[in-house]
Parts: sequence; C-alpha cells; structure tokens
Amino acid sequence: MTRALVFSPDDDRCLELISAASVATGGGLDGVDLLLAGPAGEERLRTPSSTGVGRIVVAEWSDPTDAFSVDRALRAWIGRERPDYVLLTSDRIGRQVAGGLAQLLGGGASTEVVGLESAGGSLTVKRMVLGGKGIASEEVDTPAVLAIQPGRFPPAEASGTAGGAAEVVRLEDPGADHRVRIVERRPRERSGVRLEDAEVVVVAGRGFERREDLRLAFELAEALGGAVGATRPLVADLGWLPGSDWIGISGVRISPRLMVAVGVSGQMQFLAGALDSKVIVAVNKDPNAPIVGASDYAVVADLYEFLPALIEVLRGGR
Amino acid sequence: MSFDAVVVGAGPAGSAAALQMARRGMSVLLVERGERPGTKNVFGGRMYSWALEKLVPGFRGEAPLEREVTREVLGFLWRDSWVEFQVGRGERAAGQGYTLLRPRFDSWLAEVAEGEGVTLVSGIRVDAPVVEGGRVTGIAAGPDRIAAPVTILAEGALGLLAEAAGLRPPTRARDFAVGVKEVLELPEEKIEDRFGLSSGEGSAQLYLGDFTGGIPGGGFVYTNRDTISVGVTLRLGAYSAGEARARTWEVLERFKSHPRIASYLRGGRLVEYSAHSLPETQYGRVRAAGPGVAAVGDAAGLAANLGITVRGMDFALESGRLAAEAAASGDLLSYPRALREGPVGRTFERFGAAARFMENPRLYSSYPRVIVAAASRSFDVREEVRGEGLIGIARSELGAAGVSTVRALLDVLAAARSM
Amino acid sequence: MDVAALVKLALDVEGLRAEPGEAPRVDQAPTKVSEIDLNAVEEAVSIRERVGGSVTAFSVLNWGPLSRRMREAREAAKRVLAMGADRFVLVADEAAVGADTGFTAAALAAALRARGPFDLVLAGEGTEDSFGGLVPGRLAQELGWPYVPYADGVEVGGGGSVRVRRAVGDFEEVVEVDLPAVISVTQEINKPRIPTLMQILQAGKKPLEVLSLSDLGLPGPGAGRGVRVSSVVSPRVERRGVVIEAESPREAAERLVEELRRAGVI
Repeated sequence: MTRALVFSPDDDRCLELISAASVATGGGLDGVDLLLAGPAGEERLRTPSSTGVGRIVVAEWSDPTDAFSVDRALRAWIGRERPDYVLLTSDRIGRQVAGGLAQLLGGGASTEVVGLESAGGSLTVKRMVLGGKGIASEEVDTPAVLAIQPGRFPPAEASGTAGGAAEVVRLEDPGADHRVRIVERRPRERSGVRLEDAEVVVVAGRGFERREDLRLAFELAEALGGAVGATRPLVADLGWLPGSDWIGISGVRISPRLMVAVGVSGQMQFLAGALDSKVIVAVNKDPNAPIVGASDYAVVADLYEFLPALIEVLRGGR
Repeated sequence: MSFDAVVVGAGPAGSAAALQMARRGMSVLLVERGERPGTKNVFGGRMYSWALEKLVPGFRGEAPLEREVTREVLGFLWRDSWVEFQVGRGERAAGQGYTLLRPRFDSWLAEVAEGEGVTLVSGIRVDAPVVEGGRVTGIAAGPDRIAAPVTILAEGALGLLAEAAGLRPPTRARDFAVGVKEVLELPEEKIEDRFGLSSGEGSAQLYLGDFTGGIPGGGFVYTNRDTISVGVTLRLGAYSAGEARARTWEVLERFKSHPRIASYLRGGRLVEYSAHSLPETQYGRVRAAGPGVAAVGDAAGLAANLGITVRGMDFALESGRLAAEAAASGDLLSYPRALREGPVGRTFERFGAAARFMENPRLYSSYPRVIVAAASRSFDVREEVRGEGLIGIARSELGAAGVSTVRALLDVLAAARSM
Repeated sequence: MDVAALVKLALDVEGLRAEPGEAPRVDQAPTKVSEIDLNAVEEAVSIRERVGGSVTAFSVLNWGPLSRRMREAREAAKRVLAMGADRFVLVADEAAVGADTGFTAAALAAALRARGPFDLVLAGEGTEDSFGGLVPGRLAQELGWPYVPYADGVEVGGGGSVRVRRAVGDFEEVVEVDLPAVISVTQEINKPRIPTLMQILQAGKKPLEVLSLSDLGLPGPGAGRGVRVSSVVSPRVERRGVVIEAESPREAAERLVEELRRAGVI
C-alpha cells in the first residue's frame, strides 16, 4: 500500500491535504496518516477522523506554529515509517522543512504545487514556475515531499462509514536539536485583516506620491469591505506599510475575490503573488503598464482623480 | 589600473572605436551604463551597412541582422486613403542595409570588441570627464577615476560629457525630437507574405500624413525577421518632454489604426515598446575632438534627423573607426578633419538643404492630402472624364488644399535640389 | 569567518516571452543572478567586513544551452566578485543542466567540501525563476548542518553561533544557531551594493574556478530518482481585458462599479 503523511499548521488546510494525498496514493485514504502537532482532544480529532484517514499521529509536545518543532515531529515519524509521500502546505513552515525531509528520504520534492495527477502508477505534479509565466508538469518518483498551495484542493469530507475510525498514534518527542534555539518569539505586528484571508484587497503601488495619500487606498478598501496591501517598494524601500503587507512572490500571496491594483505597474515579482485573484481591476495612468494587460478591468486614469470618484460612487453618494 | 584609452558608451560608435583601437594594439576600457550593451538604446530599425563593411568585413555571417532591405516604401496617408511609392531591387547585396534590433546588435558588436581584447564594464555610469589644464585626462565614475591619454565619448545624443569636455554647446530642448516605437511579433512567413518579400528580404517604409495632426514628423514600419517595428517620430519642440511623449503615443495609435498600416500589423503581438529622445543634427555645432578627447556618434551630433527618419548608425560606426585610427596614430586632433573629408562630412554638407526642406509645414499637412486625393481621383471612374489629366487633378486638389500652384512648383524644385 | 554564498543563475523572467498554451521560450531568455541571492552575497560580504574571513560564491549551472550560459555565468561571477566575494566556484556540466534540486544540492555539497571548510552557507530564500526554496534545506541535510531559513537579519556573535531574526507564519523569532549552519535570507535583510567601476575591474583578477562533475567525483544525476520536468506550459490567462474609458472620473467610476456588480464581484 502506498503511504502518505500529511501535515499542515492549520487544521482546515489539513483537510485539503488529505484530499491531495488521496490523489497521490491513488484513491484510498487507508494509507494516509495525518500528523497533528500540539494537544489533540476528542474535539480536535473528530473531523479529521471522520474523513477516513488511516492513522492520526499526535505529537502532543510539538507546536504547529514552530517550524523547528514541526520538523522534529515529521522527522521522528518519517525516520520510523518512511512514507512514500509527505504532503505539506506551501507556506513558510512547509517550505522550510520540505528540502531537508526530501534529502532525508533520498527522494524528490516539489513546492508551490497547484495540482496533482496520478496515472499508471506515476504521479505528475503541476507547479507554478518562471514567476507565473509557466506551469511545469513534473514527474515525481517516490518517495517525495510535496508542498501544496493553499486552496488548491477541496477539503476532505466525512466518509459514509462510522466516524472516529482512525487509529490514534502518540508520537514521542525525540529530543530537540540543541544546535538551534529560539531565543525570542512574539506575534507579528499586522495592520489589520490578514491579506491572505481577505476577500477584497486594494493594492497600493508607486503611483501614490506621498504616504498620507494612502488614505485613499484605505478609504476604498473600507468602501469595498476589504484590506490594503502594497507592492514591495512601498514596504521595503519607503517603509510606508509594515513588513507583513507586501504582496509578491516572496511576500504575501493573495487569492481574493477582487483585487484592485492602484498605481501598480505590474512587475512579474508582484503579479506572481496575486495571480490567484479571481477578478483584477487596475487603475493606472499609463495604458502601457503591464498590469493593464493582466487585468479584467482597467481604468486608465489619474488615481488622485479617480479614487475619490470611485469611493463616492461606492458609498452611493451623488 | 591604466589604459591607453577609455571609451564611454558601448553603442555602435563606442564599440567601433574601442574595437579599432584594440586592433591597433592599444589597451582599451569600454564603459557602458546599461546592464549590458544595447539595453539603453532600443531605437534604430535600419542600418546602412557601408560603414560596418569597413569595420568588420565578415559581418554578414556573424552579426545578428534581421533582414536585408530590398524594398523601400514612401507612403502618404490621408484620412482612410493612401498612396505608396515602392522601390524594389531585384538583386540582393545591393548594400542598402539591414533591419536590425539594437539590443542584439549592440551586444554582438561589443562582444567583437571584447574578442579583440577590449575590457568591457557594464552597469557603470560615468559622471564626468576629468579635465586638467584644458586637457581631458580620463573619466570619473562614482568614487573612481580612470586616467587615460585618450578619452572617447560615445555617450549618445544628450552629450552631457561632451559638453563638460568643452566639445559642444549646452543642449537645448528644441534640439530633440521624440520617437516612440513598438515591436510586434508575427510569424516569419506571415511577414514575408504580407510585405511580398522572399526569405531574408526586408522592407523599410516611411509615411507622411494627417495622422501627425500637422506636427512635423512621420511614421515608419520596418520588417525584422519575426517582428515588425512600427513607430513615429515627431518634432515637438514646444512641449515639455513628458507631454511630448504622451502626444507621440497618441500619434502612434492614430498611425497604427490607419487601414493601410493596420493591414500590415494585423495579429501582431506587442513584445516591446519604447520612447526615446532623438537628436536633431548638431553637425557643425560640435567640435569632434579636443586635447585628449574625441566625440563620436550621436555625442558628436552625427545624426541626420529628417523628421521622418533618423540616420545615424552608419555615421556612428564610421566616426568611431576614424577616431580610433587618429588615436592610434598618436594625433587625435586629426580625427575631425578625417571625419569632415570622409563620407560622413560629405553627407552632412548636402544635408542642410534636405533638412530645411523637411521643415516645410506643407509636407505634413497639405501635400499628403493633395497626393492621395489626386491619385485616387485619377482612378475614380464614377466621374465623367473631364479631360483634365493628372496635372489638372493635382491643380484642383492643390486649390482645395489652399496651396498655390506656384508655391507647389517651388516646393518640388526645392525637393529636387535637396534630395 | 569563512562564508559560502550560493548563487543561482536564474532565468530573467521579465524578459521571457510566453504564449498561452505554449512552452515559454527559455532558450532565448537571458539568465542573471537571482535577485535574492544578491542579498545573500551582500550579507556574506558585510559579515566578512565586520568580523574578517573570506567569501566564496558557489553556483551550479542549471539552465542550458551551456555554451550560451557560460558567457552569462562569467558576467554574473564578475558582478558577484565585484560586490566583494573573494572567489567564485562554478560547477558547469552538461549533465547538471536541468537536474533536480536534490542533485544540485549534492553537487554544491561536494564543491563546498572540496573548497572548504566553511563556517556558514548563505543563500536566497528562493529564486525568481523557480521559487522552490528547496536547495538550501537539502544542502543542510546533505552536510548534516542545521538550517534556518528566511533571515531578515543575521547577527554574528562570538562563541561559534549566529543569531537570526526572521518571521514565520504569525510570529517573529530570534533564532540562535550553532555553526556551521545553512541560512537563507529574504530581500528585507539588506540592500545589495552596486559595484563601482574599480571594483568591477578588480573583479576581473579574482579567481573564477570552473568545475565539472567529474572534478567533484560525482556521477551524473541517476535515472529513476527525484523529479523530472516533463513539460512547461504558459498558463492561459483568462482575464477579460476590459479597458474603461470615460469622459470624467465620475463616469469611469460608475461604469466600473456597474461592471463589477454585473459580474457579481461586489
């Protein structure tokens, strides 16, 4: 039987990975094991258990938000069971551990996976490459570590059979790697809603001339019920917004229902972080800006004239 | 670190100068501002090849040329109508030049220079020539100074270093025209079918017409291997640079949407666009050399801007080669004379009349209309035959355009004299 | 401290032409040093400036054709050396072109062992062309060293360890790691210096060593193991491409809102 191990720091994402794992293993969930880091009572076990996964591995001592402790738990299980596939979320934690685990298994690895296809005993992985300009199909041999982008698979649902059937296995702490020590840890400063979760995102770019003008972006976001993000220069070079809010291939990846890019030229590094937006609106003075070609609706206008008008129309003003 | 010569700018003029000096045994540093040669200059669609022939005789097999120009078209557009005069040459190797893409060509020529031992450094902006006691003794770039007995300025049209070296007067805004260009991708065979070319042949097409809205200037279409360059150049001295560019894009859109031009471009996919300041001719206003320094190419004002077309790559290559020969002979100051007495100088002597002719406002307003209307009336069979003939039609169209026949005849004479 | 910086010659994705449904023309696109790797080089050089030691850059050529890429690699090496690296080790071999991340890591490990010892390996957290972020982690495993990715800051203390400031998920962390270690950096960590003319000229005299796989005693990537790229296709971008032009901002705003309402987005 093909075996897979699934881990995500987020329990909801775990359900997506279980769906993905069922593709990798060729349909059945019997061979799919789920790793839960942290205390897991009956409440937490109920939903994953009802999906029909083979085993739920509980590493009570592990902290799902600490990549080093997650790595330790994964290694403990992988060293013992040597699964054919390890499925992770393609977030910073997943990408941190994927390479080392693949090398430990002596196998392949793919991150930023957007799709899986299984045919004739071989698995083809689709992943975004070349800054979003290409989708690569990669044939992956087992064993393999796959880090899957959030939202690419439907969450696994409760199977028809009686819930709570999964065997629960407790995983012992193998002891920390003392060469790495977290000496300080605190929650990140954020300016509001998590951009990753926002349904509507207004992105501010270099078209804004002064920091105080960002007010227009915030007002628009408020009128649309969304959050404000920015391109890299506004965050990294100008420091107009905190570090968690820049959108791009190495920053935050967003997938909102609507993205309004205001004064954003549309560099590849930015677009690659926003490709999954369902609808893209561009507001730009330059009709030749790359963002115009990458948008569903483009308004070629001066943002200083257009945004106030748009905000007013959205608020129903005359 | 010391060099016999420093060359600023790895465009055609700079690379030619560097290459030729290296061949003559000099150690040469070539400094380019762009990330690699060719990235800063995307203009130029056509090169007359006589000068390259002298510099790199075997260039045909090596240089990244797009197509050999065997067709020339001069067209007049008015409203939705047009007239095109096409000159075709049956024989190949007619020496009329090639279409090419500058990023590829420039980086090739710089590579040839490197092959001759030139040290090329890219991504560096030269701030100023170092002038000591009235003599240029090298260059300053950021914190660094490089001393060299010979400094060759091939920085391009703006010529700020040449100005600082005392070779040219301050640049005036009205000395520039604005050009915008788009490169559209189309399959090779489609280009050949559409322009009636056989493999490897190219067409260079220039247009005058009402699409400029009466502004002096024109449009061009050049065929590359699997792309078409289309653009307009305008003399917009009265406008600020930003405004001028905005206007020029508008004019380009009008040009591209003319039915004739649109028929060439249909289905083409935009792969590149660029806007550029084009130099007006400065020949005669620029000293080509001073103690320790010479200017070549556009920096020396060696562009012939005829409103609709800018000719300069051949002058650039030739001036670079001549400056190099002078530097190698130990007498840099002999370069201006060599330039003046050679093909470049001889061309510019005749250029003044042509340039004055191209300033004639009727060329951009009345005449395209007269030519198009007269030509189309000659083929119009709905009208009764009035027996007025072509001359008669032309006369009545001139009248409609508000140009007297005498005025028009004088213009024709001027054209004949200047071309 | 002897620092190794990993440098990838990544495909310049901005200059890449891609037609929906077709393979992007990777052979025509130039390569250049991946931007985040320049941050790694900058950090390595600034560590040497602070505490002394050496900086060696390592690169494995991953894109073909090799004939063309060698020229680009020499330019890239010149830039990295001009930034202050002391030497550049380039692994260039037809057999390594297109190899997967496991093989690239093995080749890097062999080159590091051959030209080491090193106290610290720095790399970018990902490359523009692939952004897999796998090689540094694989290399750490191969060398048996600890791995700390996403450094927004690196502080070199005494006593054989460094402190790394980084952000993961919803937390900011300071991690102390014993050397030798592999650390990946983000673009936030520094601003890569632009080399001066003199530095570029001097870079021409610094050692650039080109190694083949057999120089490293490595066989080519074995068959039937790892990851094989079977195709790369440009996605069809299904964007509507509606350009809204209007007489006044007000009118444009009304048209946009109407379009978005009709599309059910707001």
